[in-house]
Amino acid sequence: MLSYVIRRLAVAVPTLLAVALLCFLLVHLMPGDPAQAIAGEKATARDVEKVRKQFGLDRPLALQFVEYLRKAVLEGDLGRSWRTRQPVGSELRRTMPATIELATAAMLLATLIGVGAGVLAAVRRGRWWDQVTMIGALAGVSVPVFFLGMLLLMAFGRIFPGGGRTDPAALYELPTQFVLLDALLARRWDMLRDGLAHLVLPACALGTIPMAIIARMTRAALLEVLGKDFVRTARAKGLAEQVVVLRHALRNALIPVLTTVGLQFGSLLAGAVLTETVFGWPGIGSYVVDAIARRDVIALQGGILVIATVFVLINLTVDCLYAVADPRIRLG
Amino acid sequence: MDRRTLRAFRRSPSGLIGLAVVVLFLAIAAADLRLAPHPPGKVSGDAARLAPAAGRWFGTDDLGRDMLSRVVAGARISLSIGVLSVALAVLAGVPLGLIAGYFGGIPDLLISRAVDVVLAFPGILLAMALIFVLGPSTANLALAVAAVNLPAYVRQVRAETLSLREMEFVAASRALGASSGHLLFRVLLPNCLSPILVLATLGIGTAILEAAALGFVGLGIEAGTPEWGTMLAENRALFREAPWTVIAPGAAVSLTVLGFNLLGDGLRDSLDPRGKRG
Repeated sequence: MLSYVIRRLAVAVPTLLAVALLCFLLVHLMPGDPAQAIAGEKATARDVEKVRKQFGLDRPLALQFVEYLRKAVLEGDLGRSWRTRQPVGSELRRTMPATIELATAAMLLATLIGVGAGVLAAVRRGRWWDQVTMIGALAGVSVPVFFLGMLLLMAFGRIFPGGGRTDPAALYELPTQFVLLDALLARRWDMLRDGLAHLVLPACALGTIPMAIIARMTRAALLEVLGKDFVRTARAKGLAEQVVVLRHALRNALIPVLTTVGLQFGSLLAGAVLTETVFGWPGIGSYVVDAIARRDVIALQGGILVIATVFVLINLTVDCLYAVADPRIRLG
Repeated sequence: MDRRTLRAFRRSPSGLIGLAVVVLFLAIAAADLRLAPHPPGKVSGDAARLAPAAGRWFGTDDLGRDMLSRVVAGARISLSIGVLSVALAVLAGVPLGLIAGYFGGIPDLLISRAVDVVLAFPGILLAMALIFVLGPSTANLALAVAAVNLPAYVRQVRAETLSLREMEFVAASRALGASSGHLLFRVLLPNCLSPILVLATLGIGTAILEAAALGFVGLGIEAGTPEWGTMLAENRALFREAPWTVIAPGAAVSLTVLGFNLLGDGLRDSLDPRGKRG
């Protein structure tokens, strides 16, 4: 097991280095002078020179990269946004909890409904429920998440508030930056209700694609297992169909489903970029889109680095969990 | 495609529906402005935010531009980007996959590691970074979407090649003195075509979605171009007062992508006799 984890880590580390290199190069690949790009379009020649010195842009690229890595890894220093003049690292730490909260809610929703719908579709294979679920699943991956968000706001915008994480008039204290967690810790049920109401629509929008993929995966995996001999044996023993499906078949079908769940969690971060824009959700996705609109390259660089790193780490965790669940992988 | 496949495809209702939708949108894109009742960029202040009605079937946007004409004009843009980016990804990805799978060793290591790095980025984010650097244009949009989708083709073709390499007909060609180039492109490639076809069909749908997403965050083509994602972004603020301005382009993206997804699924089921059909 340990050797498997070490092998996976050995691949993940160079990958992370390459990710960091690409993010680092972002500034240098921009057409024109990187110092000018960081200082902004309206900067004077003196400002540009100051930036060049301050960021060490007059030094060789390799040295600059080493310095970038050292600061990012050891000090969590990702540079300063030229627009807000704030350290990007602390801005990202402030926006990250909102994204984690949204992504977790979306994933919970997607897993619960996706697995449920997939099981029902497999059990009723070929019948109308199966057809409806599979058509729904295909439609789910075909609708752009930002369009779905707008449709949800049109349909349910009167019932659920659509914008931000809480009522803007209410000033809650957020020691952990997680609205729901803080509400629970402080036993503020009004705050919990407020937070949940704001979370429903964006989580539905963001959860739709993984839900569709999980439903398809669950159905396919369960259908395969239901054809196996041990299921026939279980049925032959006279077990109730429910027990056969839920206790014997579903358990064995869950391994590929769990992998799918893990991998989808990573891609949720990308979907969050679009969902957050529609719902004015103040997370890392909104931060990145805002950085693009203002051509704030340092902020964009930091945002992409953090999202890609989290993405790699989640995939690594999923791989390791997969190995725990399935001995064929760690031994193979 | 052989007869058996065609017969299987004709029996797949979802595949046929997908084909019909795709053909419909291709026809709209081909007919282009001949179908548009008004010039898509024509601004008229006194016709702003008209609700859908006879003559203005999809209504007008904030600047009085005809939504039907803009959606029709957008079909050509979105489909071109979808097809172009998939073509680029296939042209680059297939040879890379063949080389990695057939030769193994160092070429495989280099290609596979590069693919891993690209896959380490959530797709849309990498495309955003690329366009941020390259600047927004139709060609760059297609290029960025192609780069993001390239790994899928490399991996698929590599996996196919790895198993084909061991087969007797390949060994026979090699024994007959076939060159590497002949083996790669005349012997191995034709046997990888079915999965590539399926992947490319589904890939056009994905590419159209990604291009629309890029347009939506302001990294599409020049502002004002009737690209579906850009239109959704421009009319975002209007979705309560003038919902038709977002429903028309949004439904166009969704339908086109659904069409390619249905077609791809249908092709996969009919090309793969081992495939489990529901």
